[in-house]
Amino acid sequence: MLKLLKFELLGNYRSYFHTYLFYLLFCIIAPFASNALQNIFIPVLGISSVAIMISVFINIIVNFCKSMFTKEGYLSHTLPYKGSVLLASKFLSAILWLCITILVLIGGILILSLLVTLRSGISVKELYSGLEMANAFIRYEMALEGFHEIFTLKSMISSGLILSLESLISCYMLIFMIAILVNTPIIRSYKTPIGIVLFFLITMIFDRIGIPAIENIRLVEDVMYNAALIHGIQSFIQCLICYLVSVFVMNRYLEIN
Amino acid sequence: MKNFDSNIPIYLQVMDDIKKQIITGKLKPNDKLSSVRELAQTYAVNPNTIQRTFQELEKEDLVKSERTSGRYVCADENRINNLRFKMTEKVICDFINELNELGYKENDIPQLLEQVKEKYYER
Amino acid sequence: MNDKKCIEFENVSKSYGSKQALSNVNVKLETGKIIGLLGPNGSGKTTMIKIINGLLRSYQGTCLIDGQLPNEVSKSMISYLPDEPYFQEWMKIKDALNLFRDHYQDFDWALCMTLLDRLGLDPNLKIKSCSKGMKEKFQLALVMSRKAQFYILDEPLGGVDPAARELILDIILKNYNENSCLLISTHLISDIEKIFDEIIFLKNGEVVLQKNCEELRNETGKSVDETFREVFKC
Repeated sequence: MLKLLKFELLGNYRSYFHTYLFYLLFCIIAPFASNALQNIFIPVLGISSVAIMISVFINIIVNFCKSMFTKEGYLSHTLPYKGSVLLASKFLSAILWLCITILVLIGGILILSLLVTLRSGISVKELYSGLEMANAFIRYEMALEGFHEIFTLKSMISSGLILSLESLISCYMLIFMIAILVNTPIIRSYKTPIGIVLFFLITMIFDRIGIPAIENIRLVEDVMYNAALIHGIQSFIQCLICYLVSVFVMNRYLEIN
Repeated sequence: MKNFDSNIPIYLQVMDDIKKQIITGKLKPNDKLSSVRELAQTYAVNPNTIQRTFQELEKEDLVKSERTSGRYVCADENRINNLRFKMTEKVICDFINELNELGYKENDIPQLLEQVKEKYYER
Repeated sequence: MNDKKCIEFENVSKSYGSKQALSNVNVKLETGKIIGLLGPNGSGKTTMIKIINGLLRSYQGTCLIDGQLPNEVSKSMISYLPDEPYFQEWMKIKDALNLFRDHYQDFDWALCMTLLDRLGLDPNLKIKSCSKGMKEKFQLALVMSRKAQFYILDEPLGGVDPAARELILDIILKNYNENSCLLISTHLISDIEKIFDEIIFLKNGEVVLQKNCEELRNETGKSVDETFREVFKC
């Protein structure tokens, strides 16, 4: 499996490497630019972060389809591995690239903020205490509003991250499954429209079944973490179902041209 | 001998080539023949073809195989001489038949031979 | 002593919509033989090869490789040369060698470097900058450097000039293991017919002839190439 992952990563890093580099360079240089340019840089940062997320998302899917269904598929499918292992390796490498992208984006912003604070003379300690104050402030505000649950800045950010991560991951697995279904002789024509329709259909079905089942479950104290955890379990089950269906379809109906 | 005629079984042609080598002394009595693999590469043919060749040569007693060490040209001078004669016979018969097809009779042959020899071979 | 393994096709049929690619194919490909899979374009050769390699999963009938359906075990026994190169363009030849070494236990690195040298290919070349003939040669070197039980070569002489063809045939014969089966699918019969043990003629998805070559020559007095032209006259 490790070797397969190495194969996947080596094969794909060229698609992302340059983007990361430019982004990080930008984050490092931006704080030292003149104030006039600062006004342009902030929206540029925002837009480029979004653009990078979207392009990485699409790139991962495109690379998956390329390596499974085109000429390169001849290589992937003649390597001496089970179909399930092959699929798992592609899935894991997709998750890896996703995590790396998020790390790079957040890392870039952290570097940026650090450099900005250093440049404007605020010490790191002061920055940290500022964050603590923000944390306490949010807690206070929430309590005022009647939310007796415990909210913290930390939990909001990390649970937000976890939620988005696992939704993206289960989204990937779903897309992979649909890509496989669409590229087999089960669906011969109108592949793209059917694919899109299937995507929304299956997402709705999962939600319909999923949400009532888990609405009132409480596993941990913190509401945010709880939500993240519950949705995480749900996503995991979705992933599993999509994976098993993909493997089955691939083993029975695969056809490469 | 890379240009075999694909219309005739290849093993027969390889046999012919080896027989010629035996007759002309390129392969002397008790000489060891190359392995199946090596000959297959030399002649650019299937190894099984060489196997068949060896089998047929063994049947004709021109080659004998020692189980562990390989195949050897037979030591019998008489047999080799017989082979030479038989092959020469065949060449001459084919030659006479072809000349017959061109309209010549057997009696014309000595004179024809002299003419061609003088023209092309005596230098 | 020598376990003869084989690939067996039993009543295999496959249709693409209205086109019948294979119909009731029954063949046995045994190790220890060099077999030619011959037929015009669209006769089903590629379909058969895809089935053996597990690139085509839905068909009628059974294809067994050493008694198993095409799976990861059979894939490790088979060394496949596709008719088109399947590596990503950014790779160097060396990267492809590394890939084979990583994933195939039976890959012989030193042998591959020797073959590349014989073929005049530099391992540091980018695949992108190789001509069609060079790509064919390089893939052949990779495929023949594996000690597999079955070698499946799809048009190995395809894009190669006549001078190099002899070299390629020599490489194939030199590295051919008598305990393995070599299946060669090709159009260029006259160049290669001397090395075949058996030939299989495929016409419109059906096996019209499967015979030992020398027997065929004996019986018809013609070369395989000529017999082919007769059988497939338009």
